[in-house]
Amino acid sequence: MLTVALSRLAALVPLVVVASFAAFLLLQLTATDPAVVRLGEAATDDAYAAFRHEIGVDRPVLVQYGDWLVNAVQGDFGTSWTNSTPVSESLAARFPVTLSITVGALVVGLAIGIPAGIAAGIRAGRWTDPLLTGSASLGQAIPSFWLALLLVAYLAMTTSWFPATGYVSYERDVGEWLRSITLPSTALGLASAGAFARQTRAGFVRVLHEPYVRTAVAGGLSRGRILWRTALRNASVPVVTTIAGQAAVLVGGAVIVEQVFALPGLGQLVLNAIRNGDMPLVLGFVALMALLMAIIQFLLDLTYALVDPRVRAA
Amino acid sequence: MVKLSWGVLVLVGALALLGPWITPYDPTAGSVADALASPGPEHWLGTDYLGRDTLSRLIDGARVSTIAGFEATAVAVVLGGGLGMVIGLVGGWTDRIVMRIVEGISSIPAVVLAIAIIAALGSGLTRSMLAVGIAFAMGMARLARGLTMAERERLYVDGARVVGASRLRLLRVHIAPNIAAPMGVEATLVFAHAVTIEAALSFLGLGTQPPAASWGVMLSSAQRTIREAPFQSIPPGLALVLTVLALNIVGDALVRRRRGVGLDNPTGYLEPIGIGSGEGKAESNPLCTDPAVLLQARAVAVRYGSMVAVDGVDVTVKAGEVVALVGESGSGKTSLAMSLAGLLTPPAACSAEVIRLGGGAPLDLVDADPGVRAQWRGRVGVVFQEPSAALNPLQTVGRQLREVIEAQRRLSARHRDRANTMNPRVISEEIVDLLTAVGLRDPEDVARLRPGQISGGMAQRVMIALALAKSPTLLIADEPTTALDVTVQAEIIELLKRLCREREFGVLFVTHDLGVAGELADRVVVMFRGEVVESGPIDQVVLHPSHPYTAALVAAVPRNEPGRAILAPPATAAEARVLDMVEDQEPVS
Repeated sequence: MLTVALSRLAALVPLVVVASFAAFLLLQLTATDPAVVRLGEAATDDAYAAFRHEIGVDRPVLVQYGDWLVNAVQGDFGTSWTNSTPVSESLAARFPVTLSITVGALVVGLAIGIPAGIAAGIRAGRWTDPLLTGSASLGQAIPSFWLALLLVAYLAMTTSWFPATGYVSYERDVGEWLRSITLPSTALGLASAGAFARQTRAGFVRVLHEPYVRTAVAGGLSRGRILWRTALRNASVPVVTTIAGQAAVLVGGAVIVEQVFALPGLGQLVLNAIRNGDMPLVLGFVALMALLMAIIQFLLDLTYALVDPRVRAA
Repeated sequence: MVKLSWGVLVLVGALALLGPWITPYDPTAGSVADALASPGPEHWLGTDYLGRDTLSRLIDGARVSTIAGFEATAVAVVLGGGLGMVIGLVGGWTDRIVMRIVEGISSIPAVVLAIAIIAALGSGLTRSMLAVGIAFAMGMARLARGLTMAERERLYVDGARVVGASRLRLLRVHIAPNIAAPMGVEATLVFAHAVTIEAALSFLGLGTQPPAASWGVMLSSAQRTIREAPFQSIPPGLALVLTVLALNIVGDALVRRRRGVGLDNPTGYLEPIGIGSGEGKAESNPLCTDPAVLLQARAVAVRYGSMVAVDGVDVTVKAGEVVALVGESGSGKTSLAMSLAGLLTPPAACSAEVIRLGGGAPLDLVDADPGVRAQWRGRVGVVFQEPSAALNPLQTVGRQLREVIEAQRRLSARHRDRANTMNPRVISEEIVDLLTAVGLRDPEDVARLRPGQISGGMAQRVMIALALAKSPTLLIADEPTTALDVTVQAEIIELLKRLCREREFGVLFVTHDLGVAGELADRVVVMFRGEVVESGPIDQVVLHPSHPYTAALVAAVPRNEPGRAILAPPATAAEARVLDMVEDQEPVS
């Protein structure tokens, strides 16, 4: 098990490095001059040059990246161009918000999607099946930010159950924190629920076509036993894989949904950074996302190994 | 549903094309005096906060969404498809390095990557769709690479590469046309994503710039007045949902068409069908009442839709007798065997005059209710073709045996002493006995292993143990040795022979190999295209085949197979005769 963990971890490191390097190169393409961002339009050329030298953007690209990477490994993502706040500080202040609604959405997606998928799968071919799969397809087609708008317009503003805007940190009040992330997580998670439901159902149907199901039927195992023991466990393996893909979709969607609920998360931060041409902040954001994805992938690999003994043995 | 979806897409396309001529108002101009009008005869869908007509903007937005979809999809297909095909074709280090980069970039969520690209290039419809296109090009590259490699392998086999076709020509003439269809399906799904992400980016102010109408921009302006006019968020959102849903449904339909059928039976092997009595029932021939007859089946017919797999076949198996059911693949022998085992599943349909099991209180399978069918399956042991696929990969061998034993205990009403027979320790002993009976050494250890940890031969022994766990009176073995190599084949045949002698059940042995049948069977039934062409004692059929097909089967028996000659010396007279006869037929050179 430890070997599996270490080898998976080793495989993920180059991914994050490649991702951050790609983002770094990409952001070199920008026409934005950090000196103008910081000093405004009216400074002298000498002042501009001095500032560029100070923050090191006059050095070769590879040197700059190497420098950035060495610092990033130690948790230092550089300094914002607009003010001298360390990027890591800004990210750390916003990250809990984005993480809260992303994880909340994942919980919503799994809590609705998996039971719905099982319900469709164990009664595949019956009348409930097209109903559930149809709803799942519909759920997947609804853009999360539109659902967010609808929830604000028709739920948050007409009732007082949930706040329409704002975020309360869980350190301050766990109940209020839950209330503040409920609607964003729901808006974000419903499309994932559709994806999970379809995956789960497809997994069930695939497993029911496996010869070992016929062996179980021949052995006299009851329908319920075959579905809940044999099929469920075998079908859960591909669903675990789906979680990684959905996590990526959810993090991206969180950035957008945050805007509807005016949540002070990474979305607001990065949009402001783009408006201001604050490239270190954008780079830090992309690197953080790549790192988050790698961590999720790592955790899933471990789960995978727990569910499927064949992976553990490999 | 698919037609309706095509209809929606055609409508969106038409609105995109005809928009400028059919919008009732200028989509980008309005007077503040008309701001936030409710839907009415003037403005069917009302107006936004600047007094612009929502219907006109909605129609104009169809154009933006269509352009966005095409732009992003084109970038993804050209960039990703091109890259994937090239690295798939070149292979080697280029492939390895580029794939690492593609994987690295793919680890950034698509929306995040698009945002980063927009940060570098600037916002706007075309630039944002370039960004989305690049983000989706990564997945496209992986797909194209995989398809190209598969296609390349095939071409090597066909020899196109060998005759010296240049790589470019190979790509243009052989590979590109063959991978176009799956790439097209993927492109539909990218299109749907692009439409959603365009709206999302425009909503954030990174995509289409106001005052241009895009469904995302409309949602953004609706958000400004969400308190005063919540309705304004409905039309653009619905338009988005319908378009994306239609694209997904069409995409799914294309995927299904590519994969072909196979979805016609969503319950797989879970729900075996019953067997009806068919039309020609009132046959007056009385049933054979010989107590030695174990299985008596008359006029069994199996159909798959309009295709007839088994056409009125009679089978009889006596206690202690081994009957071989021989025929090539597609002859209907497996369908027949599964129908006799009560394990036939949809889309098959089956009818018969009589299928009766003796050896105890007689059971009738024709028109039987599910309870009787379960009892039937309890008395018929089945050994399946591919042992490693027929065992649950996630459960230990012991666990699987235990489940079957417990299920059988639960089914049989005869066990009065339930508490004792369900005792886990008693069952554990039984598992060890069963594994020993099928010739596995160290049964305790084997019971703790999973199917992936044992060899194919061991797996088939476990499979036989599973069949024996039911104490069957009839054993149906469907090609039990086909997936195994020759030496293991011989061992399994030895095992079946021994079990037959010891336990005196009847065996119906399905095989395409008359040689294997000759080693084991007392009688043989030869099937061809769903019908029995010949049946009789094995010696007679092998030595004097009356049907040309049987003669062809006899001639097809492999000769001098190492396993058969060395490990399994001819044990029965019949077998010796098969081999002798085959030897005789060999042309002397």
